[in-house]
Amino acid sequence: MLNFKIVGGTEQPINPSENTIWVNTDADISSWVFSATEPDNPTAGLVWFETAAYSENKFNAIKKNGIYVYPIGCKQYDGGAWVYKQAQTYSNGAWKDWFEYVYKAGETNVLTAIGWKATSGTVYTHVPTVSYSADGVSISGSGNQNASSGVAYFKNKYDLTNKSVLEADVTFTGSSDNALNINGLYVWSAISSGYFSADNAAVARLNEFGTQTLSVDVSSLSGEYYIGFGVRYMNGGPTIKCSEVRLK
Amino acid sequence: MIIYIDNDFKCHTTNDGTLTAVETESFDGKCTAYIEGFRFIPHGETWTRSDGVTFIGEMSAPWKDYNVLAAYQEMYEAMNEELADADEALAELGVAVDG
Repeated sequence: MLNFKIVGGTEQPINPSENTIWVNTDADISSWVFSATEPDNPTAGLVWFETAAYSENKFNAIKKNGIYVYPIGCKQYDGGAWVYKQAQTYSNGAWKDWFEYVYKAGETNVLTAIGWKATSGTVYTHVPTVSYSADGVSISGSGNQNASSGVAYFKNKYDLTNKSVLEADVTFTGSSDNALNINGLYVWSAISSGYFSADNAAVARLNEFGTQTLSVDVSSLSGEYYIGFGVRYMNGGPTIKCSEVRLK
Repeated sequence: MIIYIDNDFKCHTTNDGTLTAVETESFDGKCTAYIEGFRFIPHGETWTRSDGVTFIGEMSAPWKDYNVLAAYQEMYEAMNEELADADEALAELGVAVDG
């Protein structure tokens, strides 16, 4: 017997049971499938729950024994194309968002946490310092003069087709030149030797110090892109410490 | 450079009198077609997408297919390179180019 329930609609179900999966959609759900790969020959209304080897929203699919499912994303075949749909699971008394980890501090099961590569990118170029700790990765501006800047990014590109939001939880400390602030979370089609701040597909910039979540709209990006951080050295700083990077 | 944003934070390169001027280096060297395919949310502002997801500025991201915008920019840069080559050739020939 199944240990979950799937409900479609534009409002969260009232009084949901544990493991209720809500798909935020105004299109009828004709059928659904859990799969790591995009289904072939979809029909109108089909909901595809994308799965991976790790998910914060894993659940036991059957009431007895254990068949665990690891969902990371949701799309519906609507109007002849796959369309991103928000999905949430009701678990332990709360609705939980679905997403795919690009990086999660301390989580070795996040298969995409494959490392960073630092490089430089503007008139005063300097490779940032990247250091790892149990609670995150720190990217610090370095250089022998103010305005030296560089980038640190995941080595492999990510397919952003049908992805909606890129998020990163960061703590921003140190010093920065607000008039020329280019520190932030970036999406690049290529890592060039040019001015990385102007040579990007999308960016969310850091304008204030402290702990915050950066969010970038990636819904108009399709194909593969690099994800990473740009940092500009100023008076000995700054440092971007990242604990998580997520794709929805 | 100065760009202009509308009430949906979409970018424009000219102002029809209803837009807000923003100074940013985000689009330096970019052609009009590229710039006008982007949204720019300034620091201190918030944009809510049609599906209810909220984005806090400063954030810039395309609202048109980025592959198309990138193609426009590539053509623009190729054209500028040709013009620069032509100017150089004319200069060598001693032909003045009206500027």
